[in-house]
Amino acid sequence: MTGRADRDRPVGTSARRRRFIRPVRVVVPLVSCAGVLVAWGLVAHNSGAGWVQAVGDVLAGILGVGLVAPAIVAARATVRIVEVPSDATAGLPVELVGIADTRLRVKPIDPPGPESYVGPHTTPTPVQPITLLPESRGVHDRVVLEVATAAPFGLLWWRKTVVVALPRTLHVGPRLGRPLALPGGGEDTSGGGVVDSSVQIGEPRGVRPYRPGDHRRWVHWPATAHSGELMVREMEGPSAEPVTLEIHLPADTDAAERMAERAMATVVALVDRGASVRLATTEASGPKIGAVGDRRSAGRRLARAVAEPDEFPWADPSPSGPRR
Amino acid sequence: MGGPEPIGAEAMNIFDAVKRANRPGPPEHSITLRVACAGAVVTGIAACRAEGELSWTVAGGSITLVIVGMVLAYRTRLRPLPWIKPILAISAVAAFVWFFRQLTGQAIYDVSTVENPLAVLFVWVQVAHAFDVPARRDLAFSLAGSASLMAVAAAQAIDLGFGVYVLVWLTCGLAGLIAMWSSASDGGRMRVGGIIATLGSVAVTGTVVLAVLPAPHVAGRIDFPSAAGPGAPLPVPGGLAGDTKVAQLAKPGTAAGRTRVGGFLGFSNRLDTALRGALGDTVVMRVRADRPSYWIGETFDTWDGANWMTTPTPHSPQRLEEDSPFILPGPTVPPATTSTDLQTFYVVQSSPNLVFHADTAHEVWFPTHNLFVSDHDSIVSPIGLGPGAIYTVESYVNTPSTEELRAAAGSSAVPASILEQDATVTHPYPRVKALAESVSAGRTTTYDKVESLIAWISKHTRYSTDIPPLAPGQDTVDEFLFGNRTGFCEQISTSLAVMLRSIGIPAREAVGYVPGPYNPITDLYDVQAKDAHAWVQVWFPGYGWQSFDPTAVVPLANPSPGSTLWHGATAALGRLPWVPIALVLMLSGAVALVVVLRRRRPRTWAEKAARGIESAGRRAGRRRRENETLTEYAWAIDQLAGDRSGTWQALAGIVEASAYGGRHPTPEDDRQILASMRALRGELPRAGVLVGPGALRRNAPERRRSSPPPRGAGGTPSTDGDD
Amino acid sequence: MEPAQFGEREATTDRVVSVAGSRRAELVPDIGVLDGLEGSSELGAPAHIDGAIALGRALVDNLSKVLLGTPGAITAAAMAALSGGHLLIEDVPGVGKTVLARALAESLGAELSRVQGHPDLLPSDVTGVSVFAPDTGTWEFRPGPVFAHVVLVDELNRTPPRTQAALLETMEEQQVSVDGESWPLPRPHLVIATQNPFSQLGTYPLVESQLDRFALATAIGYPDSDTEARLVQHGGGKFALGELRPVCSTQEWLGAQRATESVEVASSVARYAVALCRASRNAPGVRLGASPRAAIWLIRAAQAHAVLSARSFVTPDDVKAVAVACLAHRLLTDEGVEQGVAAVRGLLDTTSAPRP
Repeated sequence: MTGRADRDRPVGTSARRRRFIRPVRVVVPLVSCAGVLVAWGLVAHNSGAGWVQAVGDVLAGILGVGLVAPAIVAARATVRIVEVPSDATAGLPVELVGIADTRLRVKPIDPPGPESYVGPHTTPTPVQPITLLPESRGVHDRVVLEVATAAPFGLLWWRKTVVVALPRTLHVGPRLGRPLALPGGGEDTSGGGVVDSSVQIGEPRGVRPYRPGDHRRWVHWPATAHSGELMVREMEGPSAEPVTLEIHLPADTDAAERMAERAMATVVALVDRGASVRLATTEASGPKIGAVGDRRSAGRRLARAVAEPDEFPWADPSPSGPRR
Repeated sequence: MGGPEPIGAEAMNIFDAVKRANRPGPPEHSITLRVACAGAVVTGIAACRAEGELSWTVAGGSITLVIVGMVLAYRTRLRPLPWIKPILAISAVAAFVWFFRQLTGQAIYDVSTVENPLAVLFVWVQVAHAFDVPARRDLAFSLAGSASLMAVAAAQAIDLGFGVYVLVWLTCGLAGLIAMWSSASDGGRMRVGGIIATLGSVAVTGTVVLAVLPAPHVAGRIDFPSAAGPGAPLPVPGGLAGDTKVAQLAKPGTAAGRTRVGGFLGFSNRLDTALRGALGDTVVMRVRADRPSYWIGETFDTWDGANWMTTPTPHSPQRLEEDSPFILPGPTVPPATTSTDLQTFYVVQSSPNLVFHADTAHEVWFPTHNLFVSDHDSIVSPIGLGPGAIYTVESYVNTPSTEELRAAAGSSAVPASILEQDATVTHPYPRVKALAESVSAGRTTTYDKVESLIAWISKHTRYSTDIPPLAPGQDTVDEFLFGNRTGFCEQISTSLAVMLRSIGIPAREAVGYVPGPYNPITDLYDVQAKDAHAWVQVWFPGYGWQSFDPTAVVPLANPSPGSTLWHGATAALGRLPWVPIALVLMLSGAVALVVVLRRRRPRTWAEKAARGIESAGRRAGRRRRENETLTEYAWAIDQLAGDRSGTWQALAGIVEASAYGGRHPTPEDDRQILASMRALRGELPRAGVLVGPGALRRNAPERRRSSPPPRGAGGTPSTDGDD
Repeated sequence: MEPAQFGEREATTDRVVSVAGSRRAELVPDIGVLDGLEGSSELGAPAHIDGAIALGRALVDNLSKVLLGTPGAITAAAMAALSGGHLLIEDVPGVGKTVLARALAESLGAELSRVQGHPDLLPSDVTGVSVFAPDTGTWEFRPGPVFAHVVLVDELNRTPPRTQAALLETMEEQQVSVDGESWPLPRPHLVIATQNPFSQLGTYPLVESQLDRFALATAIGYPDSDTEARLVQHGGGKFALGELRPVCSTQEWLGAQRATESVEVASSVARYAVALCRASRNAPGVRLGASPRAAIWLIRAAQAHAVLSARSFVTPDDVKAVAVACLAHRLLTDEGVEQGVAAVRGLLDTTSAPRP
């Protein structure tokens, strides 16, 4: 990986990678150009006419430039990502805004995504976002893109792979899986761990702008009317006892993904029922327990979660149910 | 080159490529591309018409059809008409059938009157194709097709006027290619700098290729260019006409002589060395040849003291009764050192009906039914030659080396007929003979004798065309060798020939043209009237007539386009007035030095950073005004960039804190600030891209909404505090 | 605390603090609160500047509460208070000239004395008079209204020239001389004079040398319709005027003036100010340009503007921002103040600004 160099770079500058530059589908353009030149050369040879040769030389110049210039343009091309949302969900598209110093065809490789075109943002065409379709959860502070250009004549595409630092970290949360069976009210053993949704979950502390993931119920309409943008109440000190969810991810990537999806669904279900949830996960830096107030923070926590190293004593591969 | 297809396709074999290439692409919406393609095709057709390969009807009709077809194809690009393809296929088959019938039909003599079937075939294909160009790839084929039309036209082009068509075609083609890229990259726009760089690299690459590749040579053609032109038959078969328009026999030294175009007075039955012609730089004819040679018109063997004439013989001129190409009754040439040389002569001005050639002509392509050859190797056409006449000659070139000529047998081996005609002097020249003998004394071989005489002439005489006419009764040779010793080619070569004859070496006078300046673009020698020349031919046993030019040293090296270009460039450089240029350069250097010293390098970091901001704005097309402070200027740049968060203003604030408040960031921060400044600069609109009236209109409401220039870098104090 | 949530909350935290800050300043306007704002001086100004910056900000906040929709006049008043220069307010009656002066005095914790100009006003009515005290048998000086920290002279141009001269002399000398004795005026001393430029009847227009004594001149201008509606609803601002609390003591005010004087002026900026003044002497339509004193006050006003912008150094933008207020009234033109303002704008457009 080339991450270290990127990390030292001030955020906002471009990650320029002079990686191996290679042409895309070289056969047809090369054969066509060679054919044109050979045909032209035959005419020049047979007629002996100077004009044929002179025009043919210019033609050779055009075709040569058309075949080689994209390589130079591609080598010099830089892409920057200027806008990126902080959160995304696996399997759902997430749009980044990129700026390149020349018009480029861009295909995200990691996380993957469909092709799109970026250019200097001053071009009159509207800015096209780069769309990522992350397949699994994870934390990204850079993306790997394959950029290609055929400038100036569109005869041959050359491409290279670049690693571009994101202006901020993108957390890709897991998909929503099937939630774990939540202990109902009648279940004695859990001791009534799930809170009634009607319970007031905190004291109002203030208002803040609405963020995706906030519950509709929390919208503070007077403040919204006053400020003109959607405001929500901010609560503090949940009165109900929090539900703690312990996640032990297995080492197998697919299984871990699956489990994270289920954990996600469980948290969402709990939060929607008004419970305050604490999530216990293992991150790269060690075990972590903290409250998750909404879908987004849960997604972030699960995006960062990793399988436990072996030295942790509770290496139980199955997720434990919610507990008090 | 199709639409946006996945990049990831890796190695594939040729069949996949072909299959993929045959898949129809997505419809092409770019009007620029279509207009450029249509323009290229139309230019190609017009160029063919200009070179006389198409009739007006065919050219006009096909141009109309191409435009109609392109418009129709654009309008039906989403759903191409189903019946178009079969019709086009049928018409293509018909075109090919017609073409082959043309080829196998009658022989084609004259390219200027008969439509060239190849050009017609190409035009036909282009017209048909123009109706079926829904996709980008089809348009690329159109561009390539227009190139084939240009190739056909260029093959016939002999003057620089064709460059206009080439320029128009290149403009259309390049515009089409750039539009192709723009369309392929979903609306990419090329900056002015990019276009200049592209054109520059194309020009450089093209010039390099032109300089590196050798000049093209005719190879493997069945039929060589020949055309009769407007010439009329001569009243006397085999007679010599000085001019085409008046199809009459040439009279040397007549009153028309001085004003006649191409008027070298020697191209007639007699070369009167007492007369003085005036030669202009009008192009008389253009010659395509494998190498530069003296284009020989005719030779004279009889000298009477003032005139060169030909000895009339009973079987001269010989009439060749066959169709083109004519095989000339050539002299028996030893094959050892012989090569062939092919020349095509494009007659530009009315000229004598001599068929010029290099060295010994062997075969002539000329669209008449007969041709006349004298036994002095002069070839005469039965009709007058005027503009548009074309003929091709294949010559045997016999170029023995100096050693071979030295080793050639002496005069003893010369045939009697040659000795009789060409080694005799009609009246005695005792002084000349004495001079020649004394100069060539001690030289044993013929070659050395010739060389010593040439050396003597070049040492003791002066060249000038501005000499008085010869008085009646004076002898040209006596006057030149013992009189004023000044003259031009006629005097010089005549003197050499007479001197050679006086010591028994067979020599004769030849007149014609020197090669003329070589044009690397058209690959033709542009022979001008002033290139008319006279020189000496000396008989060498075993090698025949060899040319010697005592007048000038003519470059006999075969020029390549590259060396010609190089020579032209160095000559042009040499002609520049270097002393004034050096003075101007030194002066401007001094001025530049003063300016640089005055503007000196930024002393402080703040100064450097401020210049960074200014250069960013300059690139975006908004220079700092004199009365603007840095913050106001940064505000303007922010507006330009549509940045409402005031990034540039924040930068300006840091710079001003350093400049006016002495609050310097750490060196590390300095670097970071400069780096991010450079990065930000990339985001700014380039000059001329956004800063149009439309862009301003778009930005106008935003500008009104955002705050006016702040009064301080830290922002205005919030004075309207009741929000 | 986990980093993600911390990051999330950062944005809101900023908001909350700023809201709370202003609310507290509003409720408890003492200097202690202002100390709490020192973090807001953006570029790390020296400590004694911070007090001035905080004071300036609080002053502007305070004035904004009573004088709605006239930011220019408020800034000018705050600059006058910080730079120690006198302020001339030229405008039509009824736009809040007096309210501004009273609010300023009120905010600065100083007593305000008011002189209403009229043709019968005598110099002694302003400066004070010595009266004979029969009980002590001595002449006793009774100080006039000019002996106050903030003096409001309403309709200065309606007082006769002799009185004008006396008043302006005290402004320059910072003392009153009566019967050979000098009585120093209290410090800080700020004179706010108003005049109505449009009423010509029975007025004595100030001569240019007298106008030169005023550091700054400003117009208040009509408020926009919304503000005017609010003004009418809330009783012309008097309602809030009564509620105003001082933001500092006079001692602190004096300290802030000293701090403002210490604001850094780069030599290029000073040269720019001088260049503006010199250019005014050749400006079209100007019969008499700015004096050297004008350049001094231009810099001092720019210093005050820098303080109001929370900076401890003057930028060329500060000079530009105060140029109209500081120079326009000093230029002697054919057609009055309007032309003076236009001339100063022209100067700003034609004089080249310094490059860092």
